[in-house]
Formats: sequence, structure tokens, C-alpha cells
Amino acid sequence: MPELKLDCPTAPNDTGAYRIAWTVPEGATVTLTEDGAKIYEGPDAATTVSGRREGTYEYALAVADAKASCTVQVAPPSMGLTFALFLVGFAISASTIAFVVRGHRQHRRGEIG
Amino acid sequence: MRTLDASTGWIVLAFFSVAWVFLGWLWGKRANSFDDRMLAGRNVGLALGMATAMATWITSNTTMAAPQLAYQLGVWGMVGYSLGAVGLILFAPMAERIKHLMPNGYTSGDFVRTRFGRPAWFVFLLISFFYGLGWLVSMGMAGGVLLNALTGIEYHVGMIVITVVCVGYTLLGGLHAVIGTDYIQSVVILIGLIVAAIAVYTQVGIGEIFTTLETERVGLLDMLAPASIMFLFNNLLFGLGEIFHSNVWWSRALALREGVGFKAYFLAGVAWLPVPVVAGSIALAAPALGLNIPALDMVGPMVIGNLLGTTGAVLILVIVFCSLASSLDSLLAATADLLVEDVYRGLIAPTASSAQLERASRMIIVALGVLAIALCWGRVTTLAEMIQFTGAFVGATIWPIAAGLYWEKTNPNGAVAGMVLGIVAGLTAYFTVGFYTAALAGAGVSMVCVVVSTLVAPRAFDWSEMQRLRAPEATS
Repeated sequence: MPELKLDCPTAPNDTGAYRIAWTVPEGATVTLTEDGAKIYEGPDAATTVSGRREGTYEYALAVADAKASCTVQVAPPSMGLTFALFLVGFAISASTIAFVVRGHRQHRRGEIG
Repeated sequence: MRTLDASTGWIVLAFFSVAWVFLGWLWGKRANSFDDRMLAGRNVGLALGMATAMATWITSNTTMAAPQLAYQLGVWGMVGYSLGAVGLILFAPMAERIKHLMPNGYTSGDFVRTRFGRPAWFVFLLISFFYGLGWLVSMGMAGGVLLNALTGIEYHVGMIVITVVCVGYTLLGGLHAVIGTDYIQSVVILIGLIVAAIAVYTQVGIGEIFTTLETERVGLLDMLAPASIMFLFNNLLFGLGEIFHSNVWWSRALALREGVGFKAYFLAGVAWLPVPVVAGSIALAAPALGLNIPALDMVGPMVIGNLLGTTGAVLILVIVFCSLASSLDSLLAATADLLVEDVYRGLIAPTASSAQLERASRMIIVALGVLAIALCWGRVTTLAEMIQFTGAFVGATIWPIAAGLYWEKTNPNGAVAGMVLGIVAGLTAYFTVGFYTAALAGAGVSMVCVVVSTLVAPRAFDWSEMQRLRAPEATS
């Protein structure tokens, strides 16, 4: 029976995009399922999953009669933190743009050296 | 994924390598002085100026990491990446100001040393050098990864060949060669990307792409995905930080003819804006094509290779080789200039002649090439992660540079504190929240330091001090 090793991210993932890799005998065809639905079948040794929303996802790898499984937790930052940082980002960007535009006008008018 | 055999890969590689090195040699013959070699005689016109800015900003990061970010963060990923254009557009007025303030200056380090003094200069040089190395490594890695994936050429061999070719023609031609090849490379990149995008949307179709994403990867269409929302302004600020501080852009501002800087950077920014959207949208076709993507940074090449077969593989090889070369050469030249002018001439040999400086410049370009190869040897991380890590450093330079250029009373100690504390805040955010907050935190803390210190303890500055920067002949 082939020895299977399935590597999933152990820490909670915050983007919903992550890589799952596995080790199987060379040339073997593997089947990878996510919560019971097939997401890959073929000879590759890894896949990248993306676009996953908050939740826990269970992955199962099968080669012939051998099986391995793991789980990935997707935990995005809170919406409170998200919008706070969004507003801070907007404020810093707008301030920087306004500062340079104002400086440029002063430069063109000869008000600064 | 392997759609080309190694011999085809070598032929493409050899053709472009010979072409770039020949052009480097040809254009290098124009360089008759130190100014010629470092700043292309300070007489570059609008067409070349715009093309070199755009081509340099279309790096391997754009052509490979933009698809990665679209695949990772969805629609906001590619839109956020395209906000990098704001950096080029906002540098347009700064390029005019730089040329006005220091018509005889050479580097961004010259400016920081004269404007803020030595402590700020040391911190700035460390940031510049670290960022330059990060960019060099990301491009060297991209070259090796791409050649390996498309042709089977071993990672280390591909990475070495691309780095050596860029070192070769930068050595031969200086900034003349860098700007000249950038012009050709920008045309090749744009044509290649348009062909690739047309192939994706005619063969797969936007409806099919949308339907597949909606059923299989709905998070990529989510306009309220937290990481993607945070990424938007982080990437805008990252772009500002990269461009505001880096000598790659300062050397071009100084090399452009009087009155050209504003137009060249503004037009380059507008022309660059759609490039990440085009490159990124290609990646969104991967689920509709049923492609398995084993590594995030290969999603763009894999989609094009899958749709266009051998032609697509050659196309992506040419696009990425041109985008790699156009940035790698610029970075080698600009980093070497910074080390020659600021470290060698500034600290070691203040009275060095032009000939000595040119010799030092050549040795530094070779040394940077060797260092890049050594650091790329172990493929330690993905391209996007490598790039975003430097966001903490460059974000911290935005306000010291902008305030230094436009605000007469900027406090030099505030500039130093802004850079140091900005880096600390950026790295803290990188490790505690995520890669998509590093530049934002760095820029925010740096802005507060610069503004508060200047309001509390303003320092007068005589702008005419900038005019004292002189060519080596005049000071030796």
C-alpha cells in the first residue's frame, strides 16, 4: 500500500487562498476532495485553492486504497478591523496625494524655492 | 506544466540575450563621460522617458504576481495592483521638482543627505539597499521559476543566465542601454499581453469565467472580502513608497531633458494602469479551464500556455523575459549609481575622478549580480510574499521624501524617526495582521512622525544648498 502524506496549512488562513501539497509514489494518480466534492484528479503533487469564505474545509486524498485527510480553517480578519484599516489607508493615501498636488502648485507658482 | 522543450527555450533565450547585449554595446559607445554613463547625458526625450518608466514599472512582478494576486484575492487583487499606477502619476510633479532642485545631482541619496543630514542618509541607504536586493531577488527567482516551468531548464541555470545577460548589457551600455532596451521591451510586453488577453477572452469567454468563479470560487468575486479590501490602499501606498524613494526613478528624473519629467511620468502611469488588470484577469480563467495550479506564482504562464500551446509558451517566455530584463537592468544601474555616488564617493573616496567612479560602478554592477544569484539560490518564498515584505520599508519613506521636496520646514529628526518607526510598525503589521497591511502601517506611522515633529519643531532649510551638488570633475 503506498504511503501518503498530505500537507495543509496548519494556522488559520486569512485570505481564503492556500496551497495543499502531498507526497505519493511517482506516477500515481491521486484524487483530492474538498468536503466530499472532487476538486482534483491527476498526477500533480500540489494544488492551490482560492476564493474560500470563512469556515472549515476538510480535504481527503486518495490513491488506490490509501487515504489521507486534513482540515483548513479560513478565518478572515474581522469586518471592524477591515474597515478601520480601509479608512486609515484612504486617509493616508488622500493626504499624501493632496500634499504633493499642493506642493506642485506652490512649486509652479514659485512660492517655494 | 511544460509546453516547450529545453532547446526551444534556449533558442528564445539566446536570441534575446544576444540582442540586448549587442544593443548595450552599441548604445554604450555614446557614453563619453560619467554623466553620460550614469544619466544618459541628462538629455532623454519624452518618448524614451515615458517608455523607460512604463517598462521598468512592468516588472516580472506585474506579469507574474498580478495574476497571482488576482487568483489569490480576486477582482480586488488585480484592481488593487493597478493602483500601483498612482505611484508613477504622483511622481510626475516630483520629477519636475527634483530636476529643478538638483539639476546637477545624481541620486536620491544625494537629496536625502543634503536635505536631512547624515543620520537620515544612513537609514535611507539601508532601506534603499534592502529594497533593491528584495526586488533583484524577486526578479532573479521569477526568471528561474519561469524557465523551469515552461522549458524544463533547471531553475538555477535559468536564473543565472537571465541575471548574467542583464549584468552584461548594463555593464556595456550604462543608462543609455537601459533606456534604449526599455523602449523595445515595453513595446514587446504590451503587444504580448494584448495577444494573451485576446486569446483568453475569445477562447474561454467572460460569461464562462464568471459562471465558474460564481460556483467554484465565489470568494474571488466578493467585494467585501476583508483581505482584498485591506490590500487596495496598502498596494497604492506600497507603489508610492517604491517609486518615491528608489533611485531607479530619481535617476530617470535627472536623466530626462528639462521640461520632460512631468509628462513622461504622468503618461507612463496612465499607460501602465490597465496592465495589471489585463495580466491579472488572465488568471481568473484558470478555474473555467479546469487547470490545476500547483504554485500560485505560475498561474498566469499556465493559463496562457494551456490556451496557446507552444505559441503561448514562447509568448509568455518573451513577455516575462522582457519585463524581467527591463527592470533588472534599471535596478542594477540605479543601485550601482547609489552605491558609487553615496557610499564610494560619499564615504570612501570623495575626490575620486570620473574614471575611478566608472571603474567602481562596473565592479559594483558585477558584485550586485553575484549577490542576486547567491540570494536567489534557495527559492525561499513566493514572489508576491517577497515583494510585499519590503512594503514595510518603502512605505516608511513616502512622507520623508515628499515633505523633504515640498515642505521647507520639515524636521530632519522627524524624517529619521518616521523611517525607523515606520519600518517597525510595518513589520509588526506584516507579522501580526497580514502582508496586505505592511506598507499601510509603515506609511501611516511615518506620516505622523514627520508632520507632528515639523509642526512642533520646524527647521528652516535653504533650498539653494541643493544646487551645490556637482559632477566629480568639479569637486576632485
